[in-house]
This record gives sequence, structure tokens and C-alpha cells, in this order.
Amino acid sequence: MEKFNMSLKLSNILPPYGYLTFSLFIFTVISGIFLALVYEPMAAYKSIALIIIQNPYAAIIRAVHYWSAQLFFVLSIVHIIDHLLKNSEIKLKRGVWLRTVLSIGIIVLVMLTGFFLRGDGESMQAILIFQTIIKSIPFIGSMLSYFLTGFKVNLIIIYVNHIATATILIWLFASEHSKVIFSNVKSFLWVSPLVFLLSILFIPGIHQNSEPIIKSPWYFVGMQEFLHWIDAPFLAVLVFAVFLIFIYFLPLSRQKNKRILSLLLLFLSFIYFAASILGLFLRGENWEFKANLQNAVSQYNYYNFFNYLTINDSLKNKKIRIVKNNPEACMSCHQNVAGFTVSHSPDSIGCSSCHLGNPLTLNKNAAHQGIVLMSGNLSISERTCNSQGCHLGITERVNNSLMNTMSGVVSVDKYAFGEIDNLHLKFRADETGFSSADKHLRGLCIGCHIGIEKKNPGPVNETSRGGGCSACHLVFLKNAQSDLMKWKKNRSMLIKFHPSVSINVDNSKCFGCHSRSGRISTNFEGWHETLMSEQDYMRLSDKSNYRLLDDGRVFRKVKSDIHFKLGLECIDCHSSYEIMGDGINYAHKEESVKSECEDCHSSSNTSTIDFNRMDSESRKIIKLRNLFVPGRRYILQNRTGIPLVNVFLGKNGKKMMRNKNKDTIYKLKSPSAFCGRDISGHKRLSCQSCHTSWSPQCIGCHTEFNPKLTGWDNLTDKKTNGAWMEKGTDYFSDMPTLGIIEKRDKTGKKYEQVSTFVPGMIMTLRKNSSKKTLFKRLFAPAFSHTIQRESRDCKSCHNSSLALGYGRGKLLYDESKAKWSFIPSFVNSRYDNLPLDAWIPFLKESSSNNSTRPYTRPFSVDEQKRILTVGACFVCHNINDYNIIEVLRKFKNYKQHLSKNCILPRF
Amino acid sequence: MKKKESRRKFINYLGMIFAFPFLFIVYLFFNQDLTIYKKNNSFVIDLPVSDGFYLFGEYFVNIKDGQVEVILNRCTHLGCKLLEKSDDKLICPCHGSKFTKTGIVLNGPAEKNLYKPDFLLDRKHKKLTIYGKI
Repeated sequence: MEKFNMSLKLSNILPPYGYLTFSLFIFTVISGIFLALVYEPMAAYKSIALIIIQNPYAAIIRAVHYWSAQLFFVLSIVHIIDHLLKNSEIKLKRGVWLRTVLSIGIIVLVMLTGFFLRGDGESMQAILIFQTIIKSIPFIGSMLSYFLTGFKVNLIIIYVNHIATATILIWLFASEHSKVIFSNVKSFLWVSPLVFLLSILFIPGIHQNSEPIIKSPWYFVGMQEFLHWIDAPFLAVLVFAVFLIFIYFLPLSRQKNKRILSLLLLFLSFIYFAASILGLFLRGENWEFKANLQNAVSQYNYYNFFNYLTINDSLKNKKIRIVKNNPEACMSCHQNVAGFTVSHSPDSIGCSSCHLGNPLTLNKNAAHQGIVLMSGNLSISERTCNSQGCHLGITERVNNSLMNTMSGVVSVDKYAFGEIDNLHLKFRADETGFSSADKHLRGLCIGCHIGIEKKNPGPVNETSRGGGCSACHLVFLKNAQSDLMKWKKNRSMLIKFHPSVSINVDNSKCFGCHSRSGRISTNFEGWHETLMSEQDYMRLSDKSNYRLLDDGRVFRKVKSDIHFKLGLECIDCHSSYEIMGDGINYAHKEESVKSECEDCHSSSNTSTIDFNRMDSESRKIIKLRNLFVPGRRYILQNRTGIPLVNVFLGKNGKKMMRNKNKDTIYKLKSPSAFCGRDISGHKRLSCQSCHTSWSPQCIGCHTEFNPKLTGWDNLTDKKTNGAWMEKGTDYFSDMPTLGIIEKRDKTGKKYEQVSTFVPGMIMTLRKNSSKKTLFKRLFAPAFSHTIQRESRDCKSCHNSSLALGYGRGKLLYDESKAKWSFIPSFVNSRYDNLPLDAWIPFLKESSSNNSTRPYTRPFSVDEQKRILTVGACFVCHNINDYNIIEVLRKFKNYKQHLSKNCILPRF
Repeated sequence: MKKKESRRKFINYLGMIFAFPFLFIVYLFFNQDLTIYKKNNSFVIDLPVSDGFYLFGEYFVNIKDGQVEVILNRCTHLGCKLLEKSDDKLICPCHGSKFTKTGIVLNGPAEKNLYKPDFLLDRKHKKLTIYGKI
């Protein structure tokens, strides 16, 4: 023994490594026995979490178990190296030496099973890998895998193998080669301080199941790195087997070979060590290369005993709340917080599901590490809103929805700037670059991109933008607002009223963004934008017909949408698959909108579905909104077959609708018998082409880049040198222009529809003062959300220059010459020689594309002629004198038998 | 002494004689129909109505233009569960393999495409029955 002790200097003061190793093993076993009293393999994560949170002494025992095991593993290796250097194995019988070498495998097994028994996300992935690797062993792989880990992943089988099979084997093999049953007192005295010191300073934590960084235990990180480069699970077994064979034959080989083998072993060990360092410190999420030492250290998630000392006494004895089998220590401090909806209350989902942080500690600083205040932001929603698989697929759908991609906005803007010539292209707002159009988008339009980070807590108002899921679902009731104000003054206070996350999305959530561009939110409520300033508004003696928005714009009261008057809100027509997207990345708005007027206002071809046959999302919404009635038949959307959860057949078989946010029930009306769509010549008309009462229109806008101003990049949320400025001219609230949009029915067949259009961009644009001015005349399809019960009359189309696309002015019919003529109200633009508000020249077609969509167009010359031919009738005939439906039905007949006074136009 | 050695040898041989039948029984045990322990033969889910990429238990369900595709949520490299990323990819958090949402391998170390189990689509009742592998 003394001879051996001389071989290493340390050996002069230390007991033999074998004794130290065995002492550590005994520590592990004893601490394991105590640990077994509080560990439950059937609820592994929960039981360990409760130990870590609330039971510092059990946590220390677990730490003793952990550190003595880690040190036992390290010293086992040192012990083997020491003996290999001293060539002492030669004294052992071959059988004993073989079993000793095999015990290395058992030690690895006991270490791995210990890791598996944590039951957290990381260890569950490790079990799957382990099973795959073991199953790759020829012939006995599957058998061995079932034996070690169970048929499925079974922590009880693993537990049995950990505490019994592997432990007994180690004890047997160790006792056999050392010939001692217990270690000596000196060895215990040496290892005890080290183990206890480590156990007090570094109490190992566990990873929450949602954490994205997956790393194997430190001794296998090198293997994980190797396996990152190769697809051969059996190689892991092979390498380990070769290593054991190497160790076995090393002392038995000749001196010369031994030296070569030793050098080779040293070299391979160095490579493994380097791979381990790479894996431990330079790999991040998804095993991607990421040099972040802080993350590498923090992922090991150690606590120390002093964390427990700083915990308030009142918390120590409080029962930790368990939510879905996961302990949530957060709720020990944040208790009795009100304001939540049932599905998002901490009793249902805890705090950490949404706000991350560390729910496994009562120490404030440790608990708040990595906390996310704005959990609805899309950048984090995969880990928050979808953390427990709560909103399956929805975060992905929202990511691809137009509110996030803004594809149409980006492509039209780029088209207007002359940067692209294909309006079919799809874009994403968050991938916007730095071209002139991109900078314009970043400075202005992208402000409404729902992916913009919400940084400060607060209610959604007219000026707030972005925030992902919370842009629509966050509701601050008065108490929550009041608490927020107090919290802003005193950040250490515990709020008692939390904003709720609700399915009851009201119109105010849409208003901020949708009061811009097409202004559908303001249109819906009957507000039309003016050029008045805030000061002008303040000077008004009667403000009842005016509204000042938070952003300083002043609106004038005009006619509101009939649906608004009846109390409907945006979400009553627009379903979850429409607002949050259906997963498809669309190029333009019209492609993604699924609701059609006919879904509710049609008596024919109504498809229905009962509750039990619906998709789970629709069923969930019906339940949450209390819309479920046994036997009720719900209406399916015509075009998509998606259930309308609030539209159903009443007892008399007629369609009914229930307001989603209130309980009002409406009887839905079918189109009147006077609807002209059933009659020849008008079959292509969309509902809105007749029932839109007005559309906001502006012409002659000007956008200019001013390099002297300081702007704001909405994407990066940083200041920029130079800013884009918009200048409006006149706003009109007139009937929309009509044009053609090409659509597809549910079979994919194309068809054309007459729809409503507004001047999307009639504007001059100057990128830089030194360059020439760009001029764009682009009309855009627009559903203005100003629907009225009455239809527009015949003359408002057939005799309206605005409806036909010529712009405002006088359409005159000279009966003597049978000729139509047009006198515009606006002067011609110097850029294209058309009246400023025109879409097309009078009785001509445009020479270039003048629409913001690739599938829309103004009326062709032939269509214009047909419309004006009928228009000529209304010059003399008063519509009200006739049964117009009867006239339309017999129009061809009338046309063939004209009186002498009727002179049809010649073109 | 010689007697002692031969007795030990005898016991060793006897042990081996008993060990082989025991190992054989173990072999037979593992080769029984263990289906009831290993898996549920089928897994029924509600078919989502819209296009999208969904996770149901151990399976991803990919619906595009009404076409349904079912993919087992296991990396073909070493069996880890995959993560769905916003860039339309599936990624293995353990070793970094990357797949498309149709299960095609893009980046290694995995070399095989994701496993696609058999399934039965009942559009009328909006049910999807997956015949599992787990």
C-alpha cells in the first residue's frame, strides 16, 4: 500500500483513491435512502420541485446525493487512471479485473438513471435518446432498453434500476476488487467537508419542461457533440465498448504497446474533453453554436443554502400551490390576485406558464430571473401562450397572419416605390430591409405590425401598437389600471388586480390600427376623417358631431354601418380563423378574409353542422362563450366551410345570430325580393357594391422624406436620421368607385365580381429632394364597412362618373348626338393627364396597371359602354315610375322595342 | 484441493446450465406480444378545420390545402421530441437536426425523413385516427 502511495504526491496526504471513491459511494447510498422518503417516481418533477422550493434540508440531502455521486464518478476515473499508471491491476485475477472494468459501465448507468429521475424536460429527452442508443445494439438492444427503462418511458423501472440493480452491482464489484466492505474513517473525513461545502453552495435545480436548451449530463456532453455530427446511435455504444475493452487490455499488454495505448488514450481523452467544452459552453438553443458563457453557467441552475435564509419566514410554512402537477412558488407571494378569466387564472395555469421566470424558488431574485412581463409578444409567445400546448398551432397561425406579415402593405408599398413589379409576391414585415420603400414602411406603416414588441404594461388604446396576442386579448379593467398606476410609482408593491386575458375582444382593440389606411374601424362607427387640427376641434362650440382621436386626428360624424347601429362588433362576423389566420401566408387581405355577407344573409344553400362534429377550436369557443345549446345547428361559412359559432338555425329553421360579447339575439334577414343580383346583367354584383353607403377617399396625398428630421424605425424601435412625412389634401366621404375583382369559389374555380374600390394611392412621392418625383395612381379594393340597409339606386352607378372610375364631375348625355361626355371636377394631373381623382380615362382603359392588386381591374371599355347604355335610359325615365325588377327581367325585350324618342348612345 | 476445485467447477457448470434456460425464458418474455404495454394501437383526434400545423400528443398533423399529413414527433437521429419553429421548420433541440413541416430532413445529423404513421381520415365526422408507433 505504501508503495502505491508514493506514486502520486497527493497520495502522501490523501487516503487511497479507492477508499475515497468508496466513501463517496457510501455517502451517495445513505443520502439516497433519505432522499427516497421524499421522492416520488410517479411525480418526479413535482416531488423534486417541492424539495427545492420549500425543504432546504431535503434539498441539501439531495445536493449531498448529487455531489457525492458526481465526485464518486470523477474519483472512479482518477482511481482507474492511478492504478493503470501503477500497473497494479496485474495483481487482480482476470475475472475480477473484467468485472471491475464492467463496473465502469454500471457506474455510468447509475449516473444516467439518476439524471433521468429528475423527470424534467431535459431528462425526458435524455431517456428517449438513451432508448434509441440502446435499441441500436444488435439482437439484445430492444430487450435491454425495455429492461432498463420500461416499455414506454417508465420512471419506476428506471428508479428500480437506479436504487437496486446498479447500486447492488457496484457494491458487489467494488467489494470484490477492493476486498473491503466499508471505507476507513480517514477517507470519510476527507470527503465529508468537500461534499457538504458543495452541497450548501450549489444545490442543483431542475429545468422547467418548456426550456429550449437541452444538454446531457456533463460527462456525456462530449458524446452529444459527437452525435451532433454523425447519425449513428450505435457508434455511441461502440465507442463506449471500445473504451472498456481498451481499459481491460491496457494492463495486460506488453510494456511497449502499453505506452502507445496510453498515449492514444490520452489523445482521445483530450479530444473528448475539447468536445465537452464546446458542448458545455459554446452550444445554445437547438444545439446551435452560441458563445455565451453566462447562459452556459446559468443553465445549470444551482441554488445555494443562503437563498433559503433570505426567504421571508411567513412564506416558509405556506403550502406551495400545485398547478397541473407543477409546483408554482410564485403564488406564495402573489396570492389572491384577482382579475383573471377562468381559463387564464393562476389556479388553472399558474404564473410561469405566461411569465416564465423560475417558479421553483421562494427567493425573489432567483424567482424573477428570466421573467417576461409582456408575455403576449409574438417573439416569446411560443414559450408563453403555447408553453404547455395551450394554444396549439395558434401562435404559428398568428405568425403567418396578415396582421403580422402585413404582406399586402409591404408589397403595395414596394410596388408604389417601383421596387417590385409583381404584386403576387409575399412579404413579411419583420424581414423588411433598408431600401427606400423599406425605410418608408419602417418609419410609418409597420407601426401597425402586430409583431412589434409591447414594452410597457398598460391597456390597449388608440395609440398603442403591436404586442402580439395581447394586442387583442389584454383587458385592463379599472381596478387593474389603478393597480398599474400604483405599481409604476412603487415597483415593489404586489398588484392585487391583474389585467385579464379574455376572448371577449371588443372593437377598441381593432380601432388603433384599423382607424388608419382603409379606416374601417372609424367608418364602421360612422366617423369620417377631416383635415381639422386638434386646436380647430377645441375651438368648436358644438363638438357633438366631431371626435378627437388620441393621435390628434379629428373625425366628423357621418353615417355608421347598420351592423354597428344594431350593436354588432368586429368579432361577430370575423372568426378566429380569419383574425388569427388559418396558417397560410397570404399575399393580400382579400385572400385571407373568409366571411361573406351571404353567410348570414342568404336563405339558400345553407350548410350547417352540429356541435359534436366541429373542430376543437370552434367547440372551445362555443363553450367559453356559453353558446352551446344541445341540438343546435351552426352555420358554416359558404366559401370555407368553417363554422360560425354565433350563427345558427333557430327553432323555425331561420338563421339567427348571437352577439359574441353580449347576449343579444338577432333574426337574420335574407336579401329582399328587390335584390337585383338575381337578374340578368347584375349577377356579378357583390353585396357591398350596392349597400356601401360611403367610403373614405383621399386624393393628392404627398409623401416625402425629410433628411433633416429625426424619425423612428418602428421595427427596431430606434431613432433614425431623417423621417418620412405624409401630407393629406382633401378627404371625401362619397360612394365608392366600382370595379372588378377576380375570386375563386370553394372548388377553386375563378369568377369575377363587381366590388368597391377607393383611391389607394393617388400620390406623389419624393425619395430625396435631389431626385425626381414619383407619381402613382393606384386604386385599391375596399370593403368600407359602411353597409346600409337600402341599396344605392340605379343612377348612382349607371350615371355616376365616380362609380365608373372617371372621377368626380358631370356625365352628360347629348340625345341629339347620342353621345356621352364627361366634364371632370378636378384638373388633370401633370403626371398622367388624368383628373386627380380618376381611376381610368373616360371611355378608355388605362395603359398601365393602376390597381394595388394583381386580380382587380377597372371596368373595361365594353363594360363601361354597357353601363352607360342603361344610364342613357335614366336621363329621361324616372326610376321610381317603374317596377325596376320587372324592367330588368324584360330588359332585352324593351331594348328591341324602343320608342322613337329613345335614343341609345353611340360609342 | 483437487476435489475442492472440481466441486467449484461442478457448481459453475451447474450455474451455467441453469443460467441458459433462464436467459432463454427472458428472451421469450421479451418476444411475446407486448403491444398492450408498449402502445395504444390507435389515437383518435378531432380534425382541425383550417390549414395549419398542429401537435396532438406524439404526432404533428399538417394540413395544407385540405390535404392531411401525420408525422411522428421524434427526431430520426436519436428520438428526441422536436420543436416547432416560427420559420416553418421543425428542429431537434438535442442535436440540431432540422426538418420541414412535411417531415423532410434539411440539416443533419439526422439522415432519414420523419416517420409518417398510417392514419384514417373521416372527413364526415371530422376525426383522424392515427395508427401509432410509440
